[in-house]
Amino acid sequence: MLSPAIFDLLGAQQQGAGNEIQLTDAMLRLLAAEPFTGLAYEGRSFDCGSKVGFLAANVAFALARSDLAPEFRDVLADLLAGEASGTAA
Amino acid sequence: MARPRIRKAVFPVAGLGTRFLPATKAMPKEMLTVVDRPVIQHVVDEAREAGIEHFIFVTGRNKGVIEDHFDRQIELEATLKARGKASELAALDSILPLPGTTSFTRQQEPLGLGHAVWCARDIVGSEPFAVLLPDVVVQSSGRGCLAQMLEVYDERGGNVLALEQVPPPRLIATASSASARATAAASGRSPAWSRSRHAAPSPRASPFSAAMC
Repeated sequence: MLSPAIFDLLGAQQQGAGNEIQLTDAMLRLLAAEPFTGLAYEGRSFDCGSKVGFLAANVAFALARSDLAPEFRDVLADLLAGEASGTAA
Repeated sequence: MARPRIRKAVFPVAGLGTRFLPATKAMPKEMLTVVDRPVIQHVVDEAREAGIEHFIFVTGRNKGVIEDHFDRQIELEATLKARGKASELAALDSILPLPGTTSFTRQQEPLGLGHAVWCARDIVGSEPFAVLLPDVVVQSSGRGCLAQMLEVYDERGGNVLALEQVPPPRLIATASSASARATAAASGRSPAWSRSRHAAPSPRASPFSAAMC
């Protein structure tokens, strides 16, 4: 959640790392003027911008689905067992 | 004290998705699916669950499919109706934003996340708002991440960041430690760190980039 004051800071900002305008630079400057609260939220995040994170998200969300989990769990167990014994395709 | 309500959320979806080529050659990376919903759908659902009323997408070239995804698909709906596919129709209906509650603007050049958010300034106006990174999908047993953040906002106001702790061996505590300390001081919490893989190696990005899950 950000205050609209971030827009003026972003607008005035010089390009930073990688010749890009970084949101974090503006946030650091906003920190001088406004309170920030960090929340260690409950939950687990998956970085779907990375291949492993994306694959993990698919597995985690499938395992949380009552219509998919029973069958998917078996398939997953088979794959993992096959990998452990060196027979996975 | 009454605080301005957080009604709007910004989704910066202009990224090129080069890490997923060739899958993302002709398709936006935000449309890759996690089970049976596009990644962006998971993120929008989190915002909707938190009570967000207006969804602002900062897009780029080749992202038109995202706009289509949040619109009606009349032909498909007619076909499903004719075939009596009630549950599929209900599934489509459940993800459809109310008329007039989405806005799309373009980031004309890839000038960074800050620039993308700045591109939404006119649509956001002068009220506090949420930013949700389209790559970060959160699984929680109870309320979603943004809903939890809104609770904190209602209590304390100001700016609120979501932080996630990662095991110590993954810490890269260089320049980021200063900003982490500043954040921790502001929040009264001990430093927490981003789990996000792209955040961890970059001192510039850590710890804030997980903040806007």
